[in-house]
Amino acid sequence: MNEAERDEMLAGYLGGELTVEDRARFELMMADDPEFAVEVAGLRRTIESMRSLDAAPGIGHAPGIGHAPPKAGVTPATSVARPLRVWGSAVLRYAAVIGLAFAAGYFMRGGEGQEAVPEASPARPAERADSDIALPVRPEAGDWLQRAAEAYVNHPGGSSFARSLVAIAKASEKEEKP
Amino acid sequence: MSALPPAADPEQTFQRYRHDVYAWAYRLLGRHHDALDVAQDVFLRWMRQMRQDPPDHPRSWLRSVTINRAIDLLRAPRPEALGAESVSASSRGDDRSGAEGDELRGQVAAAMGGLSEMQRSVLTAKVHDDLTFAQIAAEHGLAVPTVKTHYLRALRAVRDRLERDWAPGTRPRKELNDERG
Repeated sequence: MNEAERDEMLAGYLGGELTVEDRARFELMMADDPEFAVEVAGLRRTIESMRSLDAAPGIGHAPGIGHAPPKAGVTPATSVARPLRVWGSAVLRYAAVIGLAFAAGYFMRGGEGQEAVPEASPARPAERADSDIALPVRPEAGDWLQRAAEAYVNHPGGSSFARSLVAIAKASEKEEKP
Repeated sequence: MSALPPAADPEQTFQRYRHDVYAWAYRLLGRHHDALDVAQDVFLRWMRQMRQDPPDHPRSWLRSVTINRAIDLLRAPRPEALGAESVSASSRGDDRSGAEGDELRGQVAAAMGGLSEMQRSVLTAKVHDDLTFAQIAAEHGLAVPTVKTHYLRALRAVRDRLERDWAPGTRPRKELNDERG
């Protein structure tokens, strides 16, 4: 077996895609070649190390990109945040919409390379010409968008971030058309 | 009016891939806010891309762009990359998984940064997304043997980097602590 064929089998072995017969052949090959077996073990450790990163919190349950369904019998840890949500709901929703509109409009126009504008424009951007809108620089816009999105989706009964983002992007697209 | 095909409808794309995009970013960045920032940037780029030149393979496009953006973010000087306020919030580590996890994550991210775009995408698709070589080949428009070659090269490069980082004197804290009992 040449090197290319061995690598082909190695990839299949590491990827869990060998047939039972090929797997047995491959394991015999490792038994006959301890140096090769060490290489295979090192590659397997690498895969395991990379996969261990999956255990990090937040994956699949990321606020801001979707709601995770609550586990049965578990009370969501929202008691502290709830008063803020109730009292600040209108403010949060308004701020989120404005924030998303600014940031999405900025991005959809291709914000790269724009100069920083010292003062952000006040409200009512829709009534101003595009060139008059003083948009925040990209990093702040990203942060603002992020915060706005999180506030928005965390508000009970609020629209999802996905829907908000897409709606704003579509509106921005429409505005760009002559 | 007929409905847009799934790939052309940004909402469907977002709903379908949002967790993937977040997870690809989070694995490299290890911080919720950074991953969210990357996810938003990626989807906004996706919408622009759809108007200019719709990608044939959305998932593959999203994976590549997400990994690239995450690595860009890691390479960028922090204050310029995120803004001082965001950096301080991230650095407080409200959602970090611990020093050992961060250390390994940083090593893996550094190793990924040394790979070609295709190698990163293939490795992530195989190791994290559990796709078959045939599925990865279809996503990237490559032959299966080519995908396997990318996979092995990428894996060996990451292994070499991790082994260098774990060499005596530079081994991760967790491993050293475990040995000390």
